[in-house]
Amino acid sequence: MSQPANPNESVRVVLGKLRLDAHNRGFNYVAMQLRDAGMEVIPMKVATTLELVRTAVQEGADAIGLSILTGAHLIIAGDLMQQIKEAGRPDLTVVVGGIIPREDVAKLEALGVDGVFPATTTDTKKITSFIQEKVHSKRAGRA
Amino acid sequence: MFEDDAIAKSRELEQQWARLTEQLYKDKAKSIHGESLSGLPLKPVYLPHDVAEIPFEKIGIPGQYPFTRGSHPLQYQITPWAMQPVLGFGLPRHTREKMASLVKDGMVGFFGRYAFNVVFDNPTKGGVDADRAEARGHVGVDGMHMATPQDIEDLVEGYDLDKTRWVFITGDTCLIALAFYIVAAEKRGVATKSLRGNSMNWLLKGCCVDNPTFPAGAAMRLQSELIAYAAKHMPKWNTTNLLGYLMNEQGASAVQQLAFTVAYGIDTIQSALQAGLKVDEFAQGLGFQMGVDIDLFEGVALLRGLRRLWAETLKERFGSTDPESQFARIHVHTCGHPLVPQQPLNNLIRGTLQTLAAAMGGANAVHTSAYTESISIPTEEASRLALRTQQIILEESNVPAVSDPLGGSYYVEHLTDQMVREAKKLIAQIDEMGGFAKAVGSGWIRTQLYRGSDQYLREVEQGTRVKVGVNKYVIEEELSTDVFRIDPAIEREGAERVRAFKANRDTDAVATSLAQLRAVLQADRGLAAAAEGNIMGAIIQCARSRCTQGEIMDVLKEQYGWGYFCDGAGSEPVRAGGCS
Repeated sequence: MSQPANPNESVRVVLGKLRLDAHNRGFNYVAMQLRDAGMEVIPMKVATTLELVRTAVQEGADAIGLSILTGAHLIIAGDLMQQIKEAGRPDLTVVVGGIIPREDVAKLEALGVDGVFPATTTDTKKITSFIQEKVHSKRAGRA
Repeated sequence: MFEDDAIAKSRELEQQWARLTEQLYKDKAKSIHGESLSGLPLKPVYLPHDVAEIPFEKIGIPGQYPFTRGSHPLQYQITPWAMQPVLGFGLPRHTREKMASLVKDGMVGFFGRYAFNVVFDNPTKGGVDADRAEARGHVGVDGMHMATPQDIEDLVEGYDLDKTRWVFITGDTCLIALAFYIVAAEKRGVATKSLRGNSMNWLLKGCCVDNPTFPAGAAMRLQSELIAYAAKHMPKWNTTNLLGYLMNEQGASAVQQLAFTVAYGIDTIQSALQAGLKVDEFAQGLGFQMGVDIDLFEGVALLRGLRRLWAETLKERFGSTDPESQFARIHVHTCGHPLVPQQPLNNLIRGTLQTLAAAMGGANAVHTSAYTESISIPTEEASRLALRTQQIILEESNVPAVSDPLGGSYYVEHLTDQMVREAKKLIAQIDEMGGFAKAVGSGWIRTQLYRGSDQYLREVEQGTRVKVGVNKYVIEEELSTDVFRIDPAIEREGAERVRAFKANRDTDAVATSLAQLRAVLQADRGLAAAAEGNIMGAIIQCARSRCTQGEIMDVLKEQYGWGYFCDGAGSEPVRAGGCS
């Protein structure tokens, strides 16, 4: 099998936002940036964490991106990581974006979240390149 | 507006000015292409001939058709705008503490009375009680949780219900919150007809909100039900907030906001007419919630233009003869999206500019977003500063001494007229699509908003639109830790309250009322039946029988469908999670 021209073409991301969180500007913008970087984005704007995990499993996704602007990120990310474990896909790259106070970044990382991108992230290339590098290095680790 | 020789003189002056600029700046002058935040072309200076085409009577005087210069003959000199900060978090007791602290800080409504603009949390807005799994993490987080009639009874306890104004920001749970309030008043012996306040009734939020909602047809049906019910039983109740603000937050420009909100109003009126109401029986209960962005003069022109466009629409399109129906009642919500988490104190300055636009535009009520808007719901200090912003403009700046202080400015008059003309073109386009609800159902409105948002964010990221602290004058900093956090115990207490409430009621009465509501919805004849009040009557009966909002919403969702409406998916509901 020949290597795709853009290495991101093979990267598949389930991008999620909870049903009860209406904030969508950041979500939509990041979805477009990931797409423009060549990734395949499966956008789920009205999801539960379990639906995100199930979709990632069914679609053979490499990563889950979760947007949270309600302040409930610790509870929600905790649920997500638990469900990922139960689904047997600990290899999934998980990134969380939204209004994340400084002291919560480490707490999210301790839950197993790979990357945290607070609302102060003004360069969205940081998000796309993070996902890209993480996904490719995990694949290399498995190979 | 001017004699011919005055116009000729004005044009001559402009030529002089053009010669001056050419002499001084050479070709540099030609490279200046100013535009408003909406993208309207702006000249560097305006002269009398720029407003000559505007008939003098379109500008007029405050308090008279077409109300460009204000809703009443005297403005803030006699009735300061109502300070209506959005408030609410946790459970009723937490929200009541916030109400008390804002009153202590000088928050007042019209004529010195209490007015509370209560926002509910997302579970409440979506019909999810605190004891359900889906509510997890969201109970009381960005609004008060309301699951039961008891929650409203507790919220309003001790306040004079025939004097206090209540605004319930409820999303899709709108009719239910009103029913809970009606029943709370009944229990205290206060007649429904004496209640004053505001329902949001913006059920057609599928145009801009990416979470589940009712399909467009059902939204208009329920909206008309509330309007017709209040027209008959609640003469002091403002039924509907035509919601421009949210569209602006989602990416609409000021021009789009003006056009889309008036188009929404046109559909709202047409739906109520289909129910057999006469326009002057209900139009005075319609109000506007407008978002004022960061372009100061466009904010002013938006409010002036809205009053004129709405008055003209009421009179010319719908044949209204009552001036009370014709002037737009405008609540301004200063937009949150121009506020940023970087160097958050800068948001106080942005909020001041936005509030100043509201004041100079003649808003009737104002919410100033707190400087922590982009970080969390307001801390105590942040909500006080937002209130102080209004109080300083109102009581120190002397801005309120003169009504419509920018009236007669060549620039502001031209911009107002320009916005109205552009908005009329968009409204004609929406008319051709079959009206606003159709334009929402087809995904057209949503597409416009997405494009606006995407373009704005790209410009900020690429640095072509200056955002101080974000892409210019950046300093090294970490996202503030001074956030308002909700105690997780509130969620447990909220769930426990629902369980305790359910344990203490007549379950047969609950089942009977819900079955009755289901039967009414199944037999419903659509918009034509809205004035019969059967749906509202059945929901009020559910409230009397102590049903929860989640239980009532389940019946509505089952009947109407409930989901997320994809771009271009028409009015067919797509189940939550199935489509994004």
